[in-house]
Amino acid sequence: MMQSTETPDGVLVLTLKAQRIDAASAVHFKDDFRKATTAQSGRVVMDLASVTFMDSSGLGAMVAALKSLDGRQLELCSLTGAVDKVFRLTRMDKVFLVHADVEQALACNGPKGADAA
Amino acid sequence: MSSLARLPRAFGAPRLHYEETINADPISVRDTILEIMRRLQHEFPSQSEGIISTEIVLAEVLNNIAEHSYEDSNLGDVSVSVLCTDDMISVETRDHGLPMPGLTPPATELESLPVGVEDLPEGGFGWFFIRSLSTHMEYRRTGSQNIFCVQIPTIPKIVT
Repeated sequence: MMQSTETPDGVLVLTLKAQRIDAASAVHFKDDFRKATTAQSGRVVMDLASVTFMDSSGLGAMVAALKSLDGRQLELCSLTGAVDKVFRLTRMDKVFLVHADVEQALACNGPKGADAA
Repeated sequence: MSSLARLPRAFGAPRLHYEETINADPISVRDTILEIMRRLQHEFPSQSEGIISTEIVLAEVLNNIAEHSYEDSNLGDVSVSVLCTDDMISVETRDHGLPMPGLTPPATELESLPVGVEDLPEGGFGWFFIRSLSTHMEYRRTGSQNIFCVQIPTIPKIVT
């Protein structure tokens, strides 16, 4: 449910292909995330532009994904509609590093660059 | 006859009334939500905030029933009824699974998030969403039946 590409700078970009991260797909999401990030140690940027809906199971899967990075940030792009709402309601938008879109994420220098800005 | 159909007269004439009985499993829940969303978007094209809230509440209420009332067995029916007026979207569910513990919806307050990533919660958001996005909810156990009603304003509550 996600396509993974690596930029020349070694940034892993995960593009979600699913429209819903919910109770029916959360386990699949966690498995795919682990597979995509297991042999990777650089920045992880996730593009959620195609995701129209996320529920509490989906949000829990996002938190599990962040934890699996062992202290590295999980950078999120293009949060819209219900996805944006669940992140704001739980204030998870302050826990994850959120960018307007992938272009903006790649233009900054990652968590350190964003903190300095 | 759904008690919901009698309830919200005060809010004006219903503009949409959806009623369906489905199997309580994640895929059926998702399909039903998509169908309800299609109808809501058609009826209220300009009230996207209330519709987004309803989608989240529906997912939490129905998945709670699948996970807790029927203990993830994927066996058991849930009847879902959605009634909309200009101001309010009312959802009622009926199932024959386990009663809610203490016969009351869990009181969950989302505490301030822990500083350490390792301590972040991976669950427990469901009731927080239901409570945050609705203006009224009611649960009762009648015989072997759980009846849950929740109302979501079409113009959202102010979230700070």
